[in-house]
Amino acid sequence: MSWTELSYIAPILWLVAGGVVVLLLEAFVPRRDSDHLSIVSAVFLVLAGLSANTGLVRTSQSLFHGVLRADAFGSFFALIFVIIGLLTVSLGAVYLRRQSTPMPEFYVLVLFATAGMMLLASSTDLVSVFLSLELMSIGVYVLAAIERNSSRSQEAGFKYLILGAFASAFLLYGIALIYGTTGTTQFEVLGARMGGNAALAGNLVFWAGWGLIIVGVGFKVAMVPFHQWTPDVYAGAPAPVAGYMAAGVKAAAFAVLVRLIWTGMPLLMDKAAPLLMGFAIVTMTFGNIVALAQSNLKRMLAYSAIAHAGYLLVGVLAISGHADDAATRGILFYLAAYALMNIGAFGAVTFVSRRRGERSELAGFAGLARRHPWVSFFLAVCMFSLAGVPPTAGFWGKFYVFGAVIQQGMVGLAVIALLNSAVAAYYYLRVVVYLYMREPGEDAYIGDDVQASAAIGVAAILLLWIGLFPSSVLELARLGAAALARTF
Amino acid sequence: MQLHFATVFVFLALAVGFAVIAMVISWALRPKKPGTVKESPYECGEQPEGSPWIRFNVRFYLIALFFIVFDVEVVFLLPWAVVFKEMLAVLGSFAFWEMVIFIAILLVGLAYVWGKGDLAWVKGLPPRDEEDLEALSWYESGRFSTDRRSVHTSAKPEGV
Repeated sequence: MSWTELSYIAPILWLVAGGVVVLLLEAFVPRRDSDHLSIVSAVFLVLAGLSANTGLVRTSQSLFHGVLRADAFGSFFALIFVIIGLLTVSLGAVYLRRQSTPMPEFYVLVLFATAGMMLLASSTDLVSVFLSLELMSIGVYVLAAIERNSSRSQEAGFKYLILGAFASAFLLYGIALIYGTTGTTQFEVLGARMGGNAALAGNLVFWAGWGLIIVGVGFKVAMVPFHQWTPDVYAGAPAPVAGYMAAGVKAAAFAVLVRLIWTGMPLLMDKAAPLLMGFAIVTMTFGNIVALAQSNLKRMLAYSAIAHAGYLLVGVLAISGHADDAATRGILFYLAAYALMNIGAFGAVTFVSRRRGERSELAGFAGLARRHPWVSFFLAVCMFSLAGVPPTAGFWGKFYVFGAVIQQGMVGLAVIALLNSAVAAYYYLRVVVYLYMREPGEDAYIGDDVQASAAIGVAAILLLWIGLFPSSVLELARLGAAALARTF
Repeated sequence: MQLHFATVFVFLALAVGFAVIAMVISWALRPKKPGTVKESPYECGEQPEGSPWIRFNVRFYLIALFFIVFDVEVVFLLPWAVVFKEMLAVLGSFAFWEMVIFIAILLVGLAYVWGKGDLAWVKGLPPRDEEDLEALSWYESGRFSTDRRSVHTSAKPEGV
């Protein structure tokens, strides 16, 4: 370890420093409102973003004796997490301003959890995977329960904590079994040992280890049948937190899943493909069918988050391990788009919410376009993007992922995914129908916060921009995928 | 490879077996003469006061949490101190400064608790703004439902 190695993880260090500074400011410089803390947090997030991509594009540097790896894959995710963090901090400022006893710890937790996500995306050792997963999760557990006066938020935090602890235990046991059978926790060595070892391929304990790790990661990405927490937690947590969870935690967990799959190529895929295929099909179908029946926007988005986990798993199945892998590129692109559309959609709930009680009933959004044409337009863009309608980023995400699946010859799976997308369009477009074609009722929602509408606007405009000019993000995703194959 | 795990299971069986055997043998051999003194909680003569099943101040829990700050610190300081000389030869002053940074970050946790006033055993009431006081008087007037869930959604008009 040395100063040079530390410079490779500069974005993470900036975030941790930011968390410490905000924590001390919060404790020793009391102010009635906490807007200044949101600005300090945003400054540190921007610093992290600026230091994220320097010099890593064409290198793949192993750090701290193989615990982390600095490469374009990690810096692609670092950029996504910085954008997620910035949008969450600005929506969180809106949310905290409304609270009678605000909890400025919100910013600290977002900064630390984001640092955990970045670490997770660059981890190349099972132990550092576990540690960074916990750094991320513990922050998010507390964030889910940050609304002290709401029993639903407390319930969400508690549920997430208990079930998350179970998932962590599964993951840890899986790591122990893999260490016991191969004698290593490092991805690099693990991959090499799995390469030429016939005894390992038939070792049940070894595969049980992999299975437990997939359970642990599957919990974080809300894969059926480990999804039960999702609707309650997303619906109970404050909207900015729910958006942060949906976007950030999912992206981080998929980052580590993709790295693991690449490590275990091709042996892991041979064994796990039938299982993962079953999970993928059940996940997307279940998510979409249950989402059809939801009358609450947040619950609907929770089930849609499950469905999107299914689409992404379909992409994971198509990872070939060749240089210039189309599926990995597609997954990275999809996750960037997915983060923006989720934060935008949950941001709309923040926009219309009030001091006491969050407002997310679909009926309340009826006729919103008359009072708030811009916010309605932004929300509609997010919905079109979630449904995968061109010219939004969501369309290209689905296009690249499903395209890679067809390239791999899994046409049946692609057809199931496309049918699912068609079903999903119904409930996404229903929101648009409510916004534009329904008469506002007695209790129609009104919002008044400029900052919230600006945050949703940024997400929606980025979605449209990426939708019209996908090549720049695709190039970044290609570099990220190439970093895994070590072909630049 | 699986054979390596057999050692673990043998060890587990021995550990459980040792405890069970020790308990069974002492149960079988010991004389059974129960009496009032023998069945009191502290056989040494200490008189128990009241039931142990009382509610503790939640602040004890906080004290236990602060303890972790120092606990974690020592867990890492000790091995670091043991290999410090070798590390100094390889890494130079970095070996020293990285531990300084680590302890500083841990101390931030303590500083936060201190700044928030949680080290004081007797705390004043948290500051309340006007809206809180208003909500409190409404709450205390008894016009709310006893079901906790409905407190936030019941009769209270929005935006007051």
